[in-house]
Amino acid sequence: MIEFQDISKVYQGKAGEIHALRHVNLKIRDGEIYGIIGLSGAGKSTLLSMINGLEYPSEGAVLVNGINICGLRFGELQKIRRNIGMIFQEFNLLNSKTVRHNIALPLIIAGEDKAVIRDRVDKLLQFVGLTDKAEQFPDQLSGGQKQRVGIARALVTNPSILLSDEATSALDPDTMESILDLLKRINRELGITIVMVTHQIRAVQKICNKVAVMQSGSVIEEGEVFRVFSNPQQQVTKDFVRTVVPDVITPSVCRQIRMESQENYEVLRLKFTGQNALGDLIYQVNTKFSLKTRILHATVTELNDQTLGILILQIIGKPEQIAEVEEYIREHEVQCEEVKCQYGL
Amino acid sequence: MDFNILPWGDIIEALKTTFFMVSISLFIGTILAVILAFALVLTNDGGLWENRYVFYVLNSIISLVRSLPFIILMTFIFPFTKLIVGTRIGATAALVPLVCFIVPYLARLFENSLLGVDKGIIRAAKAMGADYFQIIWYFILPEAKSSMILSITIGTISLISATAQAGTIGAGGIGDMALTYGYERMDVPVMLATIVILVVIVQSVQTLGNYFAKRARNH
Repeated sequence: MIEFQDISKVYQGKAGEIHALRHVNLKIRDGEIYGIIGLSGAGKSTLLSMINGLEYPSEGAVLVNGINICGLRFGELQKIRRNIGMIFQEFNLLNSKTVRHNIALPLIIAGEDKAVIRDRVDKLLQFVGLTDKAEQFPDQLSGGQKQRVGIARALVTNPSILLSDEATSALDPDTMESILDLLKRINRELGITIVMVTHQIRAVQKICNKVAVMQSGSVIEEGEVFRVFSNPQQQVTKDFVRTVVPDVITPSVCRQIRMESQENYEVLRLKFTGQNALGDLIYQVNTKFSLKTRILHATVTELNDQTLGILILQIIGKPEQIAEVEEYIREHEVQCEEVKCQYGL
Repeated sequence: MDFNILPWGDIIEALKTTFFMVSISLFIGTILAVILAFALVLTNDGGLWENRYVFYVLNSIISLVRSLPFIILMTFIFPFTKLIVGTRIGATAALVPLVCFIVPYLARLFENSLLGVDKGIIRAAKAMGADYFQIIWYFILPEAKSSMILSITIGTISLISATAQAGTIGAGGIGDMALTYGYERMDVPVMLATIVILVVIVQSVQTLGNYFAKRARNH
């Protein structure tokens, strides 16, 4: 378990104090894939670096399995760091050394036996699918292969925690997907807790169970990925989620509706979650009530093995009828909110 | 041209002297310069042992010595030379100013090589649990090696040219020979021969340096 207790970080900048982090409280449980998302400068990388003592908080405590990282002597910190692997956006491999040597480095500096190192590196090369590249140099590899080397290096000491600092941000979309698959496999097969800092909501959507959204040094929203994605509260979160789970009608549809200038209609956004996602609610509405419905937008997304359906519906009819429909929808435990038809709503 | 008119015995002797002066001063100079360069990089802003006072003092000394032309530096430190080797003339005496000249020169070049190592690699090293010594030995040195070899190559060539000026304190060597035979005695064949020899030596040093630098870079 990793716990951030009331973390603040203040730098002395040229123009006075810079608050990189403000009163951050988070708990990351064993076995989770925890995403920390935010725009650049939100403080997420600084927060991540506190888990292995690369950065220290100005106030507050970071507990890793109950041990406060901030009060440790170097020898103790070293031991903890060997139990925490880390991967980076820029890979940070030694270009002058072979893939095999790069992966072996954490064991070499731990003074491990040569035969043990060879064995362990072979296993990891196989795990990340780079057995045939062992004797090559990093600059002969593609970005995705370099990140696989980085991952193998991070796992070679058999850690229980893996920190990922924007590890997929420098990769093209296909490669990003394959690295995310690999991270998920690491979590499932090896039971390693992954803490992942990213600005790519796609990465969170694909593999995380939990997510924290950061803005200007604070955590503004936090929780289960499905809950946060299906009902984002803060504007930053809404903007992020919208890019992978669109929940607005397009401008052209908007224009068309306004041109038709129907008098009695309402536009509703319905969110179906869990087993409701595959229900027949719209069919029921159409048969029970004598009014017209039009689908303006629909998406179905898989999040953390749960289904989220978003439907934007235009209901044309008398106001009291529309109110009845709204009531009916809410009775079926489907989130329902009215949306005004304007650009970018 | 009749090669027998050349004083081969003297040339061989001069070559030996040059080799003696360059190799000894390069050896001592490289060790001291590596230490100095690490001290600079580690105490600099954002370094592992950030200390602005130590950095300022070291940096100023290096700049001061670097701003003196070799022949002035050599004359200036005569008392120091005498204190260390007991004499102020001859090849052994020349070693002192040569080392004083090459240390700050190489230290600056090495400093650049070390600064060229990606900061991310040091972050990765720390994250793995490497201590300061391990960060230097297993991460910074291998990554800077290729560039440092090129620095040593440049340093060697500068040393060869400095040994010619060391001739003014009776150090001898191939550069000194070019001066005394060619300039003072107007012996054109000997001067030409020494020039050819110097060009060949410098070219060979550069080629060797490039080769080893490339090998250190990997392929």
